[in-house]
Amino acid sequence: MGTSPVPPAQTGHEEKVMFSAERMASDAVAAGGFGLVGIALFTMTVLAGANSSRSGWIWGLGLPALLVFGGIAFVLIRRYYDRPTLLKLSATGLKAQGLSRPLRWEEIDDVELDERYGPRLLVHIRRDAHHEKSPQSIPLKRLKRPQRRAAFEEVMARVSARRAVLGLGETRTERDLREVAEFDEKLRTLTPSAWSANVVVALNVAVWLVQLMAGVPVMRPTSDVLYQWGGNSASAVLLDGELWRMFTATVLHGGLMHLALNMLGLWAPGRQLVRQIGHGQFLFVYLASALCGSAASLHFSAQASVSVGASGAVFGVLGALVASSWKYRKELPAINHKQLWSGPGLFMVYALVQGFGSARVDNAAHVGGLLCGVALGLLLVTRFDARRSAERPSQAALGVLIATAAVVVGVMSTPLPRIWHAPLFEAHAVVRKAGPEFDRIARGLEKFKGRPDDDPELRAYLERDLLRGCAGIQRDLNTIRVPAWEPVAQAASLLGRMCGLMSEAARIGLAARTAQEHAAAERRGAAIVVELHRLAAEMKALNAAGKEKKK
Amino acid sequence: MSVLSFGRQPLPRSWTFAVLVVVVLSALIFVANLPRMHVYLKHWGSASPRVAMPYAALSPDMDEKALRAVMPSLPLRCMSEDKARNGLGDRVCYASLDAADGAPALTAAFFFDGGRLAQGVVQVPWWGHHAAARALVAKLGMPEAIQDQRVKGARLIQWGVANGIVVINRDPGWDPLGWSAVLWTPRPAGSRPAAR
Repeated sequence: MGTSPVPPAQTGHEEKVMFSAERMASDAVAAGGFGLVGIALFTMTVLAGANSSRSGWIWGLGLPALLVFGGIAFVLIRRYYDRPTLLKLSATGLKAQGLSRPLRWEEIDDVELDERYGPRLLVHIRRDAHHEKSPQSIPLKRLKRPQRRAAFEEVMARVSARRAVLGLGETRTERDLREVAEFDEKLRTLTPSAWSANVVVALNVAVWLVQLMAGVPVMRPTSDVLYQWGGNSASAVLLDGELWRMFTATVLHGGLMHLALNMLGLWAPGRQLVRQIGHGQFLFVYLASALCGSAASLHFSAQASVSVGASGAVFGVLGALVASSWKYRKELPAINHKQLWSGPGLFMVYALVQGFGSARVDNAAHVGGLLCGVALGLLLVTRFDARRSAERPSQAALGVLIATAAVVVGVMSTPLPRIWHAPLFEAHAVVRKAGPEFDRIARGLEKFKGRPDDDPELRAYLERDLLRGCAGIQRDLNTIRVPAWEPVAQAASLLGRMCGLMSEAARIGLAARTAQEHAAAERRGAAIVVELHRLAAEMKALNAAGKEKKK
Repeated sequence: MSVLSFGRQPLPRSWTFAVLVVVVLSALIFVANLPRMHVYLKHWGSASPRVAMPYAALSPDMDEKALRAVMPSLPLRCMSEDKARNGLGDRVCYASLDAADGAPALTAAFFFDGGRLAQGVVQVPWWGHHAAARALVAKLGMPEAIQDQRVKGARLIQWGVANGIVVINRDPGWDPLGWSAVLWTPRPAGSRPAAR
């Protein structure tokens, strides 16, 4: 936030006014924290020293820690109780911390409230005052927000009153604030409420709540869950024809933090854009950017991952706001530009740079949404542009055509992906069920180690558990349809072969009646055990490779 | 503003600019694809058959007669070719298509080398690329191999069939008049999937 948009009050300004530093709760909390840490460290060294009979610990470590942390706590407590006067306003001038000397009102040209990097009051000195430094900065960190505003308004009112007496016009800040107020009023008249932005936020939150009620984890739902709910995936869109995922993915989120960040990023810029371009055009920008983001994602993230989130649309809204404001820079108050670049502009650049550094972020969707938003921001006619209001429908129609073309070309040119999500998730589900079942059967066999083939308990286990269990596992594995290059296909194949070999050994053992047949069964069994060990080693290597890949 | 009054408004400058961009882009695409235009003109200008491709029945032992027997509805035209030039065969039989296995297609061409089938290609238009891949999955099941890196400018997905392999390029590209290809080639004896 830049300078305050609150207009100064117009009052008589003869009385003395003082603004003293507020007691900051953070000072008290920090003092308590430092004090406790100091006492805890001292106590620990006393106890440790007493146990090991080393008093050096107390003198060398405990006491210095108590002194350092206690000292910091003391300084903070003093700061908490100390309430120095930060600003003193009199009929003649201003005295404040940060000023090189008290200033007379007629020496002050302008005053700004800067809340961007630590709140401060910027005092601009008139050139003819021959002062060495302008603007001068009065730190207001120790004033609470309402007091800061009150101080700014009071100083501004006195400066304005004196300028009026001297026959000078309004200050630059006054003019900026007046322009902003007038422009805001104009926008409020044209678009009284920002319901469309509220609807979009409510939709995203409502979908997340429905997911939550259906048992989706609050923080990090897995890819298969997001896929079930309609996440974007190149394989689903291209190979299964599920184009609707390009929209549904944009109202789904990968956890509370993801949703919160996107909605925070959308909230203020969304409302501002609604007021600038109106509800219909805002909803169009949001939807078009969301779809463009999804189409771009198909080429990158959604090739291998399940992509979700409204960030493409959020970037579109930010891009449209920045582009539209740049296009109408002559009609917009100058201060809006500052606020735009230090707010949404900065957020956009930060999010893009941060996204490029993280493999989990779908940057293609961000860039796709942003480009779409910028194009539409440059194209669409704002609500306050009365001169071109007749062109509004035709410009919007052109926007629809361009966005549609971008989405269609984006989808049509998408490469066929390596990861085919639907069959992959199904295969994983089958193997996740079959694996433990196989382990249970194999572990059950251990109990009968060393028993003869005609042991009734062993024969019952082979018939009831092994043969039936393995038949069930193989039946399940046979339903798997997944590209052969997927490790899960190889895992399923190995599991099936191991089950087949175990079933073969069981059948031979059960069928053996004579001594010769038992001997033959034993020989074949030994060969099968060797083969099973080989397959188990292959499975282990496959699992290790999978874990390595995940890292 | 009513629809009628909107219609009476002169087009704003942005529309003129957009139309100009579309015209220039279309002209560039058209010029770049000039050698292919006769195929598109034929595809759009005349009715062509919709066929089911018998990939499983294709075999390197087939001659022209055997090929016609497995695709009786396809009006194949055959002509001699310069093998040194195309590297595929000394004779080609081809036909225009409307669709192959339900997906949009332009032509089917079968190359013979020494009288035996050496290669079969279905040319797929840009907008039919994904439909062609879907059709292959429906017909041949899950693929057996995939390429991540380009080899001779293309990355492929491969299916195994009785006497050969079927591949399709993964990248449809950005040219709306560009072609994709579904290619059948005999699988050399004892070979494993070419790409993983």
